[in-house]
Amino acid sequence: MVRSHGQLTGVLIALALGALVTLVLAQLWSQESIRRTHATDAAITRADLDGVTLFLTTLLVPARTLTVIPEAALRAELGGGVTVLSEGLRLEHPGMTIHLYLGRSRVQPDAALWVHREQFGDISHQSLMPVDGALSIQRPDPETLCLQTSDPIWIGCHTLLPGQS
Amino acid sequence: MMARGHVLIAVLVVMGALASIWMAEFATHLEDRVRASRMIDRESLATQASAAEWQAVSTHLAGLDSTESPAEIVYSVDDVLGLRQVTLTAEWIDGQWALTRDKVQWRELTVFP
Repeated sequence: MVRSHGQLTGVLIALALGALVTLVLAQLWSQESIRRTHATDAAITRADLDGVTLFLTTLLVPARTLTVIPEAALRAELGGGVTVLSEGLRLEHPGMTIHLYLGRSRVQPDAALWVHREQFGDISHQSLMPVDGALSIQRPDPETLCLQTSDPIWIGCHTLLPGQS
Repeated sequence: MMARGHVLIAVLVVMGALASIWMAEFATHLEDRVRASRMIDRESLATQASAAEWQAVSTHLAGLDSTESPAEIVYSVDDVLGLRQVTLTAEWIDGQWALTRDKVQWRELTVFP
């Protein structure tokens, strides 16, 4: 009787320890899955930012002139149907004008970085990535132009090339 | 003896779980570092391409005489996207060269190494 009582106690202690270990592991796995979700979100955002950085090179390098346009002037240039939320950048290429700005559209109600491209009357309007924060365009010196978003945090700078103004 | 065996198995299970979490963490961290380094390399190549453009223009301008104005300058530089071929017009205005960017073409686009 005493022996079986001792065995029962041993089994109960073993069960309690097993349950405790399982709980600790479940807690660890749960935290890990939450962290992984955040890491995946961050990786997607980073991939967007890397893509934008590379894509902007294809717009900035061939441009003849780069001009910072205030919000109101940008609205007037782009016309109705476009929701502008920030100042923008106008890039003039041979035969093509590109506007880069923060805005919304009917299709994409969340704020995004947009590229509005007009070439010989043909227009394409493309969103590059979602932006929750603000967009600012700065000229830290006469030879450099930087685009910066606050959320996601990103900064892309372009050094003026020969023939660009 | 059996109790010790059980404890050993339990310890191994916990260690295995912790090791798998740590490995996943390490793999994510490594991937982040590789990505970041790749992007920094790309940006550094783009900066080098800018410097190479200015260098090419300086070389061309040094060999030009103001009587040749307007002159066409063509040069190629390697950048992050491929071989960038640029055509500029240099015009002698008020004692200095004024440059106009006429055409930029990317040739031999390659997959980034």
